[in-house]
Amino acid sequence: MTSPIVVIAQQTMREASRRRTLPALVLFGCGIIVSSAFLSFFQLGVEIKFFKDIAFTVIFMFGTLATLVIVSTQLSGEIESRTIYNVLSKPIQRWELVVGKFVGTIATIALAVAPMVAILVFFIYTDHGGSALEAVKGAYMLWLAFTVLSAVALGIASVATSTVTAALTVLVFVVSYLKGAVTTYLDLISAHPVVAYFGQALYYLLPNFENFNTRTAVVHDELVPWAYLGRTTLYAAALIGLFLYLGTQLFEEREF
Amino acid sequence: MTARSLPRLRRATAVAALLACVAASQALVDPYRLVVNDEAGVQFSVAAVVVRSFLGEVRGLAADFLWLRVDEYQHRRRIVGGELLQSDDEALMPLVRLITWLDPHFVDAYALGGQWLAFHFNHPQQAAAFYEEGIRNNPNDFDLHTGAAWVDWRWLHDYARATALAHDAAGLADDDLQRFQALWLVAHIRMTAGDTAGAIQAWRAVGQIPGYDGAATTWIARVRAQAQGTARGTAR
Repeated sequence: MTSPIVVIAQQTMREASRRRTLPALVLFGCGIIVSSAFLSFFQLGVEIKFFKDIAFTVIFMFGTLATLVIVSTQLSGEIESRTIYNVLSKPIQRWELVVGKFVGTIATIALAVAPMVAILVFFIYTDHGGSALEAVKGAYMLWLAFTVLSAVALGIASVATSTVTAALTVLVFVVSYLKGAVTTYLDLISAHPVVAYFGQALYYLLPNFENFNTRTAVVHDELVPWAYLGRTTLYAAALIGLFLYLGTQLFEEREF
Repeated sequence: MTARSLPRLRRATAVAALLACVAASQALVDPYRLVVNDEAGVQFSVAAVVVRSFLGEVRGLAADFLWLRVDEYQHRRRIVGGELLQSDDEALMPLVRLITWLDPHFVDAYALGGQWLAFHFNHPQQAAAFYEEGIRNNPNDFDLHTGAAWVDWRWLHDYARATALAHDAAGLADDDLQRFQALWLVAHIRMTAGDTAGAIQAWRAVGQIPGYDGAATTWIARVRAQAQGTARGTAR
């Protein structure tokens, strides 16, 4: 017998592919990457860097957008359209629903970014633009970022509407990047130990999406150590565990 | 403890444990951050940190677009009323500075900025400092080493430092042409410093490069003649 999580994950993937937003995003992203491969207004050397930068930025932006679209229309969307009653009337646990949605979302995102990564690797290979393996590592790190973002969004979606989910997830994402500026500013304005501890807490406890950014290394043909990939995967697993736990607990408490 | 508070306590404990896992795994990642990100050996100013944080994942692409503008200023300098547009020259350095903040491995920006500071804006000290920062962030780059050597040689007259940089550049050369360029620089710097024996030694090293033995022989003869001429002049 198939696990309810797998069934919900498959349903989530089916639902995401049925919407026109996702294929449109993928096609648009692939189009930009392919066309950027033929831009030649830089001297040799900078040109391939420019291509890699564009490709990674496109994968990042379209992947983020796809994650937000899928997650915010899944759990909150079902609550808003009241189809959740049908789902919850079936013999499944609420936590299975949240985890199933998460698994379906990250699998869909992987399928959505795969063609863009394939195009990136193809042009790196044909233009002798560095290591294709490092590019795949960079893409894997981006996918890890999307999985964490999905967990954050699902955690928020368990108590919020789809619009609020999308807005708060973007906020968490932006704050994560601004963390570096905030901690530097705190160091600058005060040497008080309390402020220092606050800065440290901010750094260690809030999601740090910068950890998944290995683009500079990949673009400049530097090696991303396997140990870094392993440790960042652990970090992503810890964050996913935290946000999914919060999401499932809040969803369990919610009354319909 | 009430029956209601027990699950809450369990949940709070679970959340605390998961937060501890997040912090611990961040601590595991930290030692590698410097290796994989563009932070290795880079001391950013507060302004740089803010700019980098705001641009997040798109800072590499932002640096590329800024380089487009720099490229235009450098190669397609605009002429208004028959005169080169001065504002283009003045706009170049802030853009280059911003590019190196966003992408400290953007070697071309360091090379161009150092060259313009020294040879165009006449600020050799700043050029040397800019090159030094570039070399710290990109220790294996040939162009930055030779650029810095030129500034130390022609502007700052720090021949010992210039020779060391050019010598390092020879070790970083990708091909024979680059090795020749670096050793050419070493020989000329040593000649300027009055070190004839050192210059001849550098030309002998040039002679070891396949295809450059003829040039090395000519230069060694020229250096010897020049040294003899100088010695005769001094004796008179």
